[in-house]
Amino acid sequence: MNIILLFSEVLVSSLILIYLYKKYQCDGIYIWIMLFSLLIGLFSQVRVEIFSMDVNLGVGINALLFIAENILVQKKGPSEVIKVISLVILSNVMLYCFSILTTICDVSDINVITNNAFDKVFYLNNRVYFSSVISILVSIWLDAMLYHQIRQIKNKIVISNVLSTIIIHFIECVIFCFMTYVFKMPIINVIELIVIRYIFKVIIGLVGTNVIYIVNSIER
Amino acid sequence: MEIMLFVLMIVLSVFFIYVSLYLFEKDGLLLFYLICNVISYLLSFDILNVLGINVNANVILSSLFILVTYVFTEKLNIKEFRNVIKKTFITNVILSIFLLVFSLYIGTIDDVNAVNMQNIFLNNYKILISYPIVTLIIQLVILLFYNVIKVDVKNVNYRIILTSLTVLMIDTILFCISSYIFSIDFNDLFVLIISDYLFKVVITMIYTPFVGYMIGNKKVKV
Repeated sequence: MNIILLFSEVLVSSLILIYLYKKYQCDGIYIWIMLFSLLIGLFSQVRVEIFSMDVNLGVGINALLFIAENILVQKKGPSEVIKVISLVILSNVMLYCFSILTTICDVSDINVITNNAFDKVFYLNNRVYFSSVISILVSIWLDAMLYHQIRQIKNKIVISNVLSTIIIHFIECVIFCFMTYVFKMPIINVIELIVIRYIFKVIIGLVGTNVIYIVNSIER
Repeated sequence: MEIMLFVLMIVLSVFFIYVSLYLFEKDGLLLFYLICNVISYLLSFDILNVLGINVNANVILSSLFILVTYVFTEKLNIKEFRNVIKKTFITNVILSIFLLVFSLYIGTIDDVNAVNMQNIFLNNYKILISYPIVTLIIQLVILLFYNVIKVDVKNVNYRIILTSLTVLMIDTILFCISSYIFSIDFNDLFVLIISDYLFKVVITMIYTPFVGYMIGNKKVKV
């Protein structure tokens, strides 16, 4: 079941990315990044099992976030990363403030099951939430620089995307898993989580190269 | 305590508008509008108890969302405003799809968050459908109603309050009925509509001078 959902998550979010770019160009990509960075922040605290392996929810859209970032760098240059970082920070800080303040308030006695579940999900686990946001911020900044550098040396989308995916996803996985799980579980399990997350993200990131090609073909 | 938290949320939301305008200049208000809409959507699943009264958790951001819509109505032409409506609708539909997909995942044995997500989003599937539709209707009502009122009422603040009294009523009635009918007791639903409406009116009045200032200020570009 989960693998089908992961497949649909990746497919639908890729199609949405292409659709938004086709309709609104770079503005559409900003909308995509804003929306999905909020979802990644919120849902990365949920762990699901795929092929009997533990991964955090939203791993598919997390990998595609870098594809969206690469499209922006491709179109507008590496300086766009500042705007992307500002957008991710603003949207996640807003979500964090409103979630925490809302969950501090008393819950109503109507629709109790939902209200209690809401408090548990939206009273964000600070450690996971900040690990997720920080790992994204650091890695999208590095990704923009690396993608741009590789493009300057060898102007081929496939080379820039594959190399940056392999390097940057590893850094992201290490930052996220270490910040989230170190001292919480044995180091060997943390390494296992890093490897699993990395494999999933690299596969999705490599498949995502096609999205960059499709976006480029739309422009032509 | 709850009142203090509400005041804090109002202050924070104004602060975030300034930050967004500062960071993104011309795109700032639209990006803030969309973020505000997404967070308002997420909070709409929760009902709070404030001073013994039941209100929806998104009353503040939902009121602010409607108020910022007036700024767009004033500063954009109809074609540009329709574009904003389309972007909002697309964002809401995407969010509905992904909230549904994410809540269908089966969590690990030691993680109860997946079950909690099912309790929030699957149990309240009506909100996943109603929120995007109600938001679309409200934006269209504002487009019609605000422009009609604009001809007769010259003062921006009066115009905002007059429009809001009607728009907020339509918004609250449509959203609460479509989201909670048959899920909660009819009397509770009726009280929820009244209290939501009153809270939204009060919050709108607090925000009105600020939004009036944004409409009048030529430095605020959209």
